[in-house]
Parts: sequence; C-alpha cells; structure tokens
Amino acid sequence: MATVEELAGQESVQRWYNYYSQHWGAPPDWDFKLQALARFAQWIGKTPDQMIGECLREVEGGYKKIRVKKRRFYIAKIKEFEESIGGVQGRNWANAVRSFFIHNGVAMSADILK
Amino acid sequence: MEFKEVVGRRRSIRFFQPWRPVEKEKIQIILEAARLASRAVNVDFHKAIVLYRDQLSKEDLDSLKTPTTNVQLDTAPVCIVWFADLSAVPRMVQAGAPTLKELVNVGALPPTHGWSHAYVDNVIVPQVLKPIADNPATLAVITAAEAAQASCVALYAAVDEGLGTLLTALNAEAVKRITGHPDHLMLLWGQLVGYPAESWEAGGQRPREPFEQTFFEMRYGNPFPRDLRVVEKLKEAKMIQDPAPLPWRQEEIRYLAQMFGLPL
Repeated sequence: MATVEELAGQESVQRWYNYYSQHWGAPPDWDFKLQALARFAQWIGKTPDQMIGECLREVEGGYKKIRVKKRRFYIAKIKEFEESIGGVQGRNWANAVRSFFIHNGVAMSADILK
Repeated sequence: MEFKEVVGRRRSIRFFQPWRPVEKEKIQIILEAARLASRAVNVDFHKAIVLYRDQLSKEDLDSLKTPTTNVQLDTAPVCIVWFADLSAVPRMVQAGAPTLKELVNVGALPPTHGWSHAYVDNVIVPQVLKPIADNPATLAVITAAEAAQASCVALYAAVDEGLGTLLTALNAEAVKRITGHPDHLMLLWGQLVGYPAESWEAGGQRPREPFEQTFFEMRYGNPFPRDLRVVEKLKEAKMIQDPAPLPWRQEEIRYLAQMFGLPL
C-alpha cells in the first residue's frame, strides 16, 4: 500500500491540490485529506491515478469524458466507505475522497446530513 | 418588491432551507404569473407539474438527480417541472386557431394591423402554423422557446415572493416515470423553489458578457452605447447590484458545506 508521501506524488493528487488551492487556497487540512484518500485507496485496492483513470477516458480533441458507470461505482463505494467508518468521522473521511474526485473533474456530491 | 429590484435579486439559488416548506399560495402565484407570460399566437406552449420533495420516495428523488444537482434537489421542497407541449401547435391547426381568433375578437389583434378571422383561416393556420406543425425540428425549437418564456416569468414571480429559485436539469426518464406525462410533453427543466439557506445575494450578481458585446444598434457589431447615467440609476433601483464574488462568498460556502456535510 502506498504511503501518504507516495500518494502525494501521484498526478491526480497533485491535480487535486492545484485545483483546490486555485479556488480555495491551500487546504489547511491537507494531511487529513491525504490520509483519508490513502485509507480509501487501501480499502478499495487502487491507486488514486488508477481510480481517476478508470473514471475518465480521453476523447478526440484532448477532452476527457466521464465513464458514467465507473463514476456510479465510485459514488457507491465512497458511500460504503463512509458507512464502514460511521458518524461524522465517516462523512469527513468520505468527503475528503469526494473532494479528490471532484477536483479531478469527476463530479459528485453527497446526500445532505439530516 | 419593485420590478427592477426583482430582476436584480434573481440569481440561481443552490442551497435551500430543507426544513422550511413553501406556502401553497406562493406556488399558485408563481403558476398564475407563468400563465400570463407572453406567447405567440395565444397558444399555451407550456405545461408544468408541481412535485413536492417530501411526497417523493428517496429512490424517486435520487433518480431525478444529475451529479451536480444532488444538493439542490435534496434541499428544495418544491420542484416545478416545466414542459414544452409539442401538441399545442398541431392542436391549434386542427381546431382552426380558436385562441388566436379570440385575440381578434377582443381587439388585441386589430384590423388596423391587418388582422381578421379570414386572415387567420387563410394564412396563419395553413401557411404559418401547419408548416411548423409538420416539421418536428422547427416545432420543437419554437415550442421550447415559447414555453421557456413562461418559466422565466415564473422565476421572477418566485423572487418577488421572497423565495429562492433556479432552473435545473432533471433526469428525463425519471421525470417520465414519476409524473406519467404524455409523450407530447417535452421536458425543459425543473424550477426548484424554496427559502434560501444561502444568503439571497448568493455571492453577488453573476458575471455577464459586457453589455456592448451583447446588444447592437442597427447592424451586428455596432455596439449599443451604454449610458453610465442609466447604469447609476439602475444601481439605485437595485437592479444592478454588487458583482460576484462578494468578499465573504467562500466563507459562506465553507459554512454551508459544513452545515449540510458536503465536500469542498
């Protein structure tokens, strides 16, 4: 399993950091976000680049198209990951993972907390 | 609220107070306003179905969503689904344009402008409306454009009632399954309605292309001159407001994300 440091070197993780920082400033909880992603990566058995690679495919013109079924798969898996942790902590960890997908261009959200 | 301020305050609200229902009276006011919207040849091009979030099953609500409409559909208590009625013009042709003739009867289309029942019978129905009805592509474009006018009026009516609102994409198959609408109704979009959970400013008035790049005088490319005195007047009337992003917008979104448990 990749360490947090190794994870930070992945292209998709750098993209996440860069796009996030562009709009929101450098994330003060970056270490937490990385830990959450590392935990999810371990849980699902994929690297961050693999996950994003599965969700996006290159199309003519240099654009990337979302593979809808894969995105659905990851939305469901993140929810499962959240539930496996439970409570507010589960939501926070899962939201860090969602943030990783979102800033890589794989749009998703979460059900609102009630 | 004054008209100019209504125009100025309208912006797409994407966080609603999920706990606060919308008074049915206000929904009716929105629909009444839409009913009076401008339309060609006096045809009802639009139809709408009001959905109440709390009367939908979770499965149905989820099925309406696209990846970026999750939060707004979860939080808005009401969704007015707007349709373009593709049967409107064909029905008008078949019936001999009675609602258009009504406009002749009440003096809205007077003979001073060349209008008569004979003109409707001999020209408008067979030479204008029938060719539109017979061409599916043209029919769809015209019907959608006309129906959209009604939803636009509905947006402003909602703002005037102190509500937050936006037009949002919906999953067409889910809409069909949930509402059971006939095939001749073409889904346009859903108008979400509720009380805003974000401030009504929602970060400020949205950026637009410069006025002079959008409006022209006499010939394309010849900008309509923008008089800054008029702009100042409109600022006083609250039609032109502080542009986005307002300085606190990012913090507002952070707090909203925290309140609803959403990712950033």
